[in-house]
Amino acid sequence: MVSKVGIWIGYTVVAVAAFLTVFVIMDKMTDDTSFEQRFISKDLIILEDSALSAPYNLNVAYSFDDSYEVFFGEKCSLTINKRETPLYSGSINYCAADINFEVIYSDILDSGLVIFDKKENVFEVKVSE
Amino acid sequence: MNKKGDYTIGKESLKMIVYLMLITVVSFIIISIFGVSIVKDIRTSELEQHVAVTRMLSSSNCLAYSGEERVFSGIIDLNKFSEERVQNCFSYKEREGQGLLLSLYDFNDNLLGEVETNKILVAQVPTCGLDKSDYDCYFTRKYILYDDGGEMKKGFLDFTVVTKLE
Repeated sequence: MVSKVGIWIGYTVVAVAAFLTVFVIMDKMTDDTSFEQRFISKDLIILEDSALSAPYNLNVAYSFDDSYEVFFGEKCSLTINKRETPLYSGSINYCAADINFEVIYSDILDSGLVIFDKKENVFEVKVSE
Repeated sequence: MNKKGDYTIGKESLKMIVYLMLITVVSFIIISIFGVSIVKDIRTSELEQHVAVTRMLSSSNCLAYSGEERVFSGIIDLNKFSEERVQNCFSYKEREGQGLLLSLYDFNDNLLGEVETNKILVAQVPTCGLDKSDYDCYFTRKYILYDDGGEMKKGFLDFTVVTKLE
C-alpha cells in the first residue's frame, strides 16, 4: 500500500524523465550534430566510391572536424559519429565495393584526416602518410 | 489498518497504463511535429548515379579496356561485358545502394547485350516516375568505342541507375 501522494510523485518523476528525453532529442536535432554527421558520412562515401572508380593510382586526403570519428566496416560501410557517443548513434552509409581490390583499413578511429591510397589493385584507407 | 489517504496499487494500475501511454504519445507528437521542420535532408542520389556510370566506363575492373600501360576510359572491352564482372566491380548488399542495368548497342542501334546488377532495385524502375516513389532513376546514353576482337567499333551504352532514397 502506498499513499496517493507517493503515486503522484512517481507520475511526476516519469513525466519529467520523458520530457527530458524529448528535450535531449530535440537539442541533438537542432545543434547540427546529426546533419554534420550525415554530411561528412555522405561526402566521404562518395569520395571513396570515386577513388575506387579511378582508372589510375591515386592518393587523396580528406580532413574534417576532429570532434567526429570515422569507422570503416565490412561490405564497404562507413560510420561517422560524434566522439564519446556510441557507434550506433552515428550515421552509416555504404559504397559500392569492388571485390577485385585488396582493401586495407588501418588506424581509422582516431583522426580528423582520412587518406585513400589506391595503387594497382590495393586500396588502402589510412590516417597519415 | 489503512490510514486515511492510503491507496492500493491495484486500483491505480489501470490509470498508470493510461498515463504512461499518454506521455509516450505526447512525446512522439512533439518530436514528429518539430522534427519534420528541423531535419535537413541531404540528397546525393544524382551524384552517386554519375559516380556509378563513371566507374563502369573508367575502371579496368569493370568494363574499361586496358592495355599494358594504361586504361582507356570510354572504350569498352567486350570480353568484360558480363553480369559477373559488373557485380564484382560494383557490389552492394541487396536492396542497398544502387541497381544498374547496362544495354550495349552497336552504331546501328542493334542490341549487343544487357547486364544487370542488384536486380531487386532495377525491378523498381516503373515506380520511379511516381510522385511518392522511394526510388530515383537516372537514364543516360553514352557514346562509346568497343573492342571487338582487336577491332574498335562505335556504339552506345545505355545506363539505367536506380537509387533507393532515404
